[in-house]
Amino acid sequence: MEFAWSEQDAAFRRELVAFLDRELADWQRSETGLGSAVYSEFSRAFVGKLADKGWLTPHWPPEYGGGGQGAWQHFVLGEEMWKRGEPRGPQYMNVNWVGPALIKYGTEQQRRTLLPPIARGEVFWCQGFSEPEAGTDLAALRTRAVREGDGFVLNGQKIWTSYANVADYCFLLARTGSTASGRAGISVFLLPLDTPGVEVRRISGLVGEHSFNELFLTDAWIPAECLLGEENEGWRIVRRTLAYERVGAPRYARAALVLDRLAERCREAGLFGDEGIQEQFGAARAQCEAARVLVYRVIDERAKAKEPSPLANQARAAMVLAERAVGDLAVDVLGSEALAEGELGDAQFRNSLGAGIAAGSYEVQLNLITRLILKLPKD
Amino acid sequence: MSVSLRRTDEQRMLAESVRDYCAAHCAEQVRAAEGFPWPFWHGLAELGLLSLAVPGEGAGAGEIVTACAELGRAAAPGPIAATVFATHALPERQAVLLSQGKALVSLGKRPLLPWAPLAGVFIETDGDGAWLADPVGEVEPVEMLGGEPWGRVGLRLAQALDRVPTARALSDLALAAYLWGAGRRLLDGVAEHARTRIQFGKAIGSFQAVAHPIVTAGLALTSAEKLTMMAALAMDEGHEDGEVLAVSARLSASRAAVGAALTAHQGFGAIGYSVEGPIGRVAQRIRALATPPGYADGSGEQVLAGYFQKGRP
Repeated sequence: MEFAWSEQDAAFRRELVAFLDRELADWQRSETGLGSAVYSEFSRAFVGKLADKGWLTPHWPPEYGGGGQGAWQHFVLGEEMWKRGEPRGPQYMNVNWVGPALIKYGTEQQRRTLLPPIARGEVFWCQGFSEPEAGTDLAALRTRAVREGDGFVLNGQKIWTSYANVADYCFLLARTGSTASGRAGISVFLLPLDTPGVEVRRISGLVGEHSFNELFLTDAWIPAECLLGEENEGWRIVRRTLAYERVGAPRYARAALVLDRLAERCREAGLFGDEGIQEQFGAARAQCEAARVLVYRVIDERAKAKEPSPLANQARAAMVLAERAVGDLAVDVLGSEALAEGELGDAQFRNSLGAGIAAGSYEVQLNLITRLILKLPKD
Repeated sequence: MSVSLRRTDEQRMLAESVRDYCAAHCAEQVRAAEGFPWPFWHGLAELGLLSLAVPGEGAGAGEIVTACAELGRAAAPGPIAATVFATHALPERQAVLLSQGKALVSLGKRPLLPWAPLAGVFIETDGDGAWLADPVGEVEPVEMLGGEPWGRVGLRLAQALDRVPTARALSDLALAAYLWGAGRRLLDGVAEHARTRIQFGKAIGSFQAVAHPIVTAGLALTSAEKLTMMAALAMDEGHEDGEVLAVSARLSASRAAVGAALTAHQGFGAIGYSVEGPIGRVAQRIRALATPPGYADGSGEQVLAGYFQKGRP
């Protein structure tokens, strides 16, 4: 693993930062919160510009609209985007794991049909995993897909589905095996959301204008071409997909930026003389850096085309701690002023609340680390 | 030393009446109201809960913490601790407006004050002194985490207030009690969720990763509760440690309530992030109330100084 950026990656970052400073000059994430209509419209226009520069899917193979670049360049993009509040909106998922899953498991026809619109920045995807009775225990999902004619009939309910209200497709998990089949009876479907029998209802969320959604499936028929990979092989696809998703949002990059801004505020207010504050800053900064290095190890694996490893769980746990440390610090040093809506403290606090839940709970990461890295016995 | 931290019969009855009132009148739509729920507030005044801190009314710190704990448990809206401060320190004419629920008080330090857009009485404090003040110009409303109406406002100081140290200690205790009540509400909620939510074929509370944080957060809340009651007793008995204990109680309850809120969020998972969900609004309120206001930056030092004065390290 190299610790220095190659000249090529560094030059790319410089060019990217200049572009973003220009394009995002008026971008106020706090005003146009994640998942809101304004946010989604902004991201649609913005992602088109990225695609024009070849910066939306630089890590994909050229035949599907990619730039044939390495994993690092994609990750530099991820860091700079997340730092600025992820102006790609839902499309960060498209490029980070939906597309790669299609590339790895899709049929040639699925790739030809579904990948180019992603690469051009024209479609939103959402992730239909969680259900009312299947959260952390995802393999307990009950949404059913039953073969009928040359396709499947879907029935069931998904919940906490971010972006379902604006998405064109859903990366959907459904049970094709028996009720008791557990992980062995799950398949992935690429569900067009305009399919008859699909209904979306909004749930208002606490983070900005972000909303979750419920997705109801009532006798929704889809053709067999919507199945991704083999029937009942969905769990394998998801495991791999989640390994990408765990480090897909480089949360430490945002936390580190917030930390820098807090430091400026403290310097202006003459608070840095306080040893307690210095120490808290040092500790929070160290946690951000630790998370960054751990995430880089995961990207290094990906760049070398190795199979996803438990390093991703470790990196994700470290990001949770970093985000929380900065959230606490923001409120501690700024006091009430930190809590005005859209302020650094308010935004960071809300984000840090979600850090331990989104993309797999913190506790599950710890369990996986104890088993896979520390080799502790399971029971 | 033997000190009873048990409530008196009168305090138990007070707690019950506040609990009953809130159960009947502090429904979700009152907590989430866009405008201020005046009928609810007037009801608190009729029960005498807004005049507990008025000098000579016969109530003491013990009654204040008893009532505020129940208000916290109900996540009741309104400037509760500030009203305790103000009704103790203000001259009778203004205090009566507040204790009868006819006006709300904004207590803080310029420029950003809680409840400013709705307040009829303004008090500025720097932590040591406090002044009745007149607003200058318009109040600029500010949306805050926790949903309480804050605002930026100019103030002209009109009159220095009396009894400030005691007023501050009583409002610290009111806030401490409110926070542990609110923290307890969330923790009871997540414990119930842990008992009933089934994942991996069993209640999630059977996983230590879920259970232990709930226990730990509960210990912190119980410690804060006992410290708050101890401090209230010290205040009522005129003990020299009363004020320092009151600050300690506020700091302790703040930390414990935030811990309970984070634990509840983690236990509830995505359910906690829904605005309509069982904990989201209360958790944010706790985070906001637990944030030391600008005038109380030196609280930790104040506690330490209390020890130094006694010659303890």
